[in-house]
Amino acid sequence: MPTESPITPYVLPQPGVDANAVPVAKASTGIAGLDEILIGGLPRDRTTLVGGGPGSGKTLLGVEFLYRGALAGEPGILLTFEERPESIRRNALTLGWDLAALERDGRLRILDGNLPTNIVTSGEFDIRGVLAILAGQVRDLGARRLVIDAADLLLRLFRDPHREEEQLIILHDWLLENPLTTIITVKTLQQPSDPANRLEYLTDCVLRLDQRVLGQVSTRRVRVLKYRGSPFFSNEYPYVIGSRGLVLMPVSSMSLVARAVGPRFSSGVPGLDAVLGGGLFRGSSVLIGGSSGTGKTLLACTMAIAASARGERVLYVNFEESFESLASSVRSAGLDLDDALHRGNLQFLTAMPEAAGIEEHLCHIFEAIERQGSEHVFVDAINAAQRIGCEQAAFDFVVRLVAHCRMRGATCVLLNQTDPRHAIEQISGVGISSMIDALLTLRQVWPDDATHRRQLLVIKIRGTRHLHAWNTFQITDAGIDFGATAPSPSSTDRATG
Amino acid sequence: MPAAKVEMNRKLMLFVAGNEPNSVTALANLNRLRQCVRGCEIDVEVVDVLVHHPMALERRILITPCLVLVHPPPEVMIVGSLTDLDKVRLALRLPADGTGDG
Repeated sequence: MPTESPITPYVLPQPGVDANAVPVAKASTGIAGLDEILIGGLPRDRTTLVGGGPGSGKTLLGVEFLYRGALAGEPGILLTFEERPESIRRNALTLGWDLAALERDGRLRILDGNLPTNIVTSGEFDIRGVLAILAGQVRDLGARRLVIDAADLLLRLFRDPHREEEQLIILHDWLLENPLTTIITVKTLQQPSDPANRLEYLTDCVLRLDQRVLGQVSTRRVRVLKYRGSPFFSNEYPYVIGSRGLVLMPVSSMSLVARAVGPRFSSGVPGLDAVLGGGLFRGSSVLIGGSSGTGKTLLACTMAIAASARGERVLYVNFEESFESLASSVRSAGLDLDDALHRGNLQFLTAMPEAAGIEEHLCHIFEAIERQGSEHVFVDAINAAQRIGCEQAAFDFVVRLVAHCRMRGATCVLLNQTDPRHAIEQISGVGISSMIDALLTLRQVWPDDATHRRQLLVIKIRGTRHLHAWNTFQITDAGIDFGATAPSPSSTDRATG
Repeated sequence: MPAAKVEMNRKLMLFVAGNEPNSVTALANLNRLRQCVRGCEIDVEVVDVLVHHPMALERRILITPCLVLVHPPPEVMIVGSLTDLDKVRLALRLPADGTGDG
């Protein structure tokens, strides 16, 4: 019975926030994670400044804000001074956003603000033309949202800091008179004297996006610099451009919300459920360690097939090999992955660890979990995370994956390839064992009688009694079998070298 | 030279923002220019963007006042209160002096 945790993210009030002030009304951005750090969304009917360098995703953030708003019944207008409307529509389509359809429905309008390059200037002028156009368009459409993309390019025409500042004040006054939730994007300001800096003072909320390279992996981050009248999460949060839009994954608030673990489920391995004291718990996190060739993947595939045969939705993330190579290697042990695949509730996600940063990997995995509504998630194997980035990145990857599965109530089964000499130490050594509910380790032994044996040890299972002994199992052409060899009292050697 | 005379006529559009001072100045300056340029017809259509915003959108008039040379091509856009008449005349490709000697 999954229940919502009563714990909610704890937020320190920001300086200057009057605790008795009327709460600021908010407009949801509809962007996963962003509303969370803004504690609800952007200030409604007010202006937010979004600054960022090239490639940081400013335009995309603005477009997604309008797209999600339009879908939720708030029509919007995009005024673009840099990218052409046609290119914006094309890029949006790659994320599955059909802007042209929204335009036809009268829920969105894209205005091209690109000025001719051969413009001649003589005497005084101002931006009232564009405001008149906007006012007319807002009336026509009944617009509630507005995005002015690359506003710095409009200002550049004035070629004088003082006049640029005047235009900003004209714009600001106009926005104050119009009940529009607005985003203005500008390039990251380099010089402190740049008049566009004034926007940081004139607007109610300021976000900064940036893109940097750490350990050869490019990461995008967003930070809320200010939010008048509202608390907010002030750290830098990584975000990625996922296959369906921007995705933020704030670590701070995620791990606080969790669901209770569910009932037990069978591993699908004859004899193993008894060793586990009745099976593993739904929604718990399970770590299976062992050196190469001990049968981790085979055990995971057996569990995955068994769950899918019960009609449960299973996601198997594979960092090690292609689906074909995995399917052929488990076929000799009697497992038919192709057959399981045809049932439709087992899904494989194969990824090269080096192909992306941890944010992107997590984003793809989270999207797959979301799409499938996964009840069990297998990751083969988490030591690959070290190839994604540094040690810290690998740790982050595992912590966030476990937290995400826990939040969704999905079982998370992680495989970890260990050095045979330090199998147990390595499992605790990754620093995540306290988050893990069940810890199993596999090994191969060649005792004096020269009979090769495979063994499994349950190091812990939260909330259950289990056998504290090495349990011998066999891999036959019908799969893993614990049945034939019951644990003997003499084999209760918990500690190995 | 009759062939050259055909090219002398100008069709202009002046986009203004109501009675805002720069717009009023631009209109006055444009009238001064028309008076001192002879030997050609200058046809001016004045458009108030506060009223006719669709037309402003169609021609992408983001700045006011804005004078557009519509004909003959190529199209030219001059923004501002048109204080520098020589610059405006040059941009409109009108002859430098208004004596109308042909």
